[in-house]
Amino acid sequence: MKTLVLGLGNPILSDDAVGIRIARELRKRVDGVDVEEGAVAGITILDHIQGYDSLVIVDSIKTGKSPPGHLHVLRPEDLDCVTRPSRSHHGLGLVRALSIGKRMGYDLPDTIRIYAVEVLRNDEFGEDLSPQVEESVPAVVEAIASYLTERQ
Amino acid sequence: MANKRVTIDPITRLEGHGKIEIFLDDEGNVDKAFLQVPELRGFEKFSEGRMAEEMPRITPKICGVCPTTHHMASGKTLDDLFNVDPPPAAKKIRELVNSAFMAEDHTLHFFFLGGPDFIVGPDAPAGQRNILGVIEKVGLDAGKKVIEIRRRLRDIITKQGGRVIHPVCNLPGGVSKGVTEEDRQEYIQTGKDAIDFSQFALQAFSDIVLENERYVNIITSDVYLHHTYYMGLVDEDNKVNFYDGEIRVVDPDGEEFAKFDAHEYLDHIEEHVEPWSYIKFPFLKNVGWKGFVDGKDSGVYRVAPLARLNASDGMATPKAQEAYEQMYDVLGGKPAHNTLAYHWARLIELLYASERLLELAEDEEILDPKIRNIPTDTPDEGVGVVEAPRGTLYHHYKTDDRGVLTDVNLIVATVNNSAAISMSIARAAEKVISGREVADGLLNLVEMAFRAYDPCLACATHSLPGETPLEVRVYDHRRELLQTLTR
Repeated sequence: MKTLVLGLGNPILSDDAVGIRIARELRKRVDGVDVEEGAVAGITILDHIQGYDSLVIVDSIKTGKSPPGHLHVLRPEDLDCVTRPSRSHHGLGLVRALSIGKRMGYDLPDTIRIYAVEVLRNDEFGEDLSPQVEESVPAVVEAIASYLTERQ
Repeated sequence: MANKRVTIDPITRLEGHGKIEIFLDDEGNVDKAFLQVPELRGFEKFSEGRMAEEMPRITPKICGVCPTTHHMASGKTLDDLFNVDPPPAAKKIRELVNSAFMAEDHTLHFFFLGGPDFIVGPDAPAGQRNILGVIEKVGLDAGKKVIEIRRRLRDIITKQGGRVIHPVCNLPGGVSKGVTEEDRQEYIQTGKDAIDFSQFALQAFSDIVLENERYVNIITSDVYLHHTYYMGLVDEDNKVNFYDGEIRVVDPDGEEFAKFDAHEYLDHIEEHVEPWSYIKFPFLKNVGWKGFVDGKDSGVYRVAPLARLNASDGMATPKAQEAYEQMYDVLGGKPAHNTLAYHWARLIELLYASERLLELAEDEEILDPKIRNIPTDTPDEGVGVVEAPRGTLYHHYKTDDRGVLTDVNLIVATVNNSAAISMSIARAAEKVISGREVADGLLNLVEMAFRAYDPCLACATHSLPGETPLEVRVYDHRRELLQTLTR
């Protein structure tokens, strides 16, 4: 089975980088899966995930309802409730990107799991995570690593 | 001044928050409208104190949409900063990568983002105005072509750029990786196929849009019309160039108003600031700021595809030149002031980028192993300009004599268009807002107006869920909320 871990975020935008941080840690920990990182979104995500059987997305999320550092483990459908038709400059949500991809005949992963870490600051430049987000990193890495091990 | 305000406000932020605000006067009619482009809050400070060489790796991360262009502008700025001229092969490799990026990005915009307004139809429900609606119109095979050509164009960026998303190939004085003969053959094939694809896209535009009288009427209607100045990079023959050349500005009659070297940009561009907004509105210093109005006396200028075509004397490649002439024939001469013609111009640029890609790949000099000149001068100041898909992009760095950054100034592409975008939104809103009443269709009209510019609200964040719903808030003249419209 071909598995991709995709850490998403902007490495120079404070907490937005958490997905990338976690991907880098995972790369040291797990074998037999591809680990990529980047700041892709919308439809371009399809270009990176096609050809894989299983996909793990690690990203930041700002629900404002959970404390910073809280881990949300989601399936794409779970995001459906918070997504709405896009004003579509470049911001197409993951769920819509996936459904479009399927209709267009992309070879997309059967299993997709999203690990989203609640963040505090993602609108100012900086290379450090907020302390609460920073502290959550080892546990999230552990959670993803065990999930990957179980599946192999 | 007593006025009311309408806000179109996305709740979440994917690529920054673009908020549209419409101010009404005390009669309840549109006074002004604005698209809030996110500022690069703290980026200058973030950069200061770093080594200048880091900038080609850092600046692509400002933006999730056009990382390659920032990498190009930054590379050129370092050449200038260290006073070193890259060898011919290095320049060609950079331009090859940049051409691949322009072609890929224009394809994305036309088919996925802006094109659906036309291909599916301006009156179609928003839920259908997307790539799926496009595929229903042009066929599934066409959809597959779009995916395939974008993948192959991106392969060029990945191979030469060294990284999947953020390229790392540009160094002061050149690039880090040459082109192999095997790769060159692949790029030649991609260039040829990209030309075929561009012609297919132009044909689809012609069949679906230009053959439809109603669509043509919308394009040429005064809702989407502004007589402004236009800016773009041109080569020595005043032909459009995305990577290098001088910046040319034409007036609303199409006469050359200015032509200048990157270093002189501050002699020509000034930024207007409004007290209520953090957006800057660049304007032509030598015309002056006269407010959010068009015409020859107003320093408002536009950038990006249509502006580049207007600011040039033509395209440097034969097929694109033919398409260029055809567009101006249909639109009744040059310059064309129809904002929706940006979509058409974008396809002509797609064809140019593809032809240029092929030219560069076919040029055997690109195989030359000499791809870098080592800088030896003491750095102090550098300016680099390239054309991004969304317009002219300026990078300007100052350093101490160790190359440590002391001052950084960027004018990102979309910001150049900020005054014009605001005017276009206001014009569209005027059609449906009268005496405090907001008629149906505001969202559609406003959306089409700003989407033509392909505004990049990026330069920012990426958190889930990653959609930017359209929300309109109407405020009365005391700035109290009257009404909220949401899609």
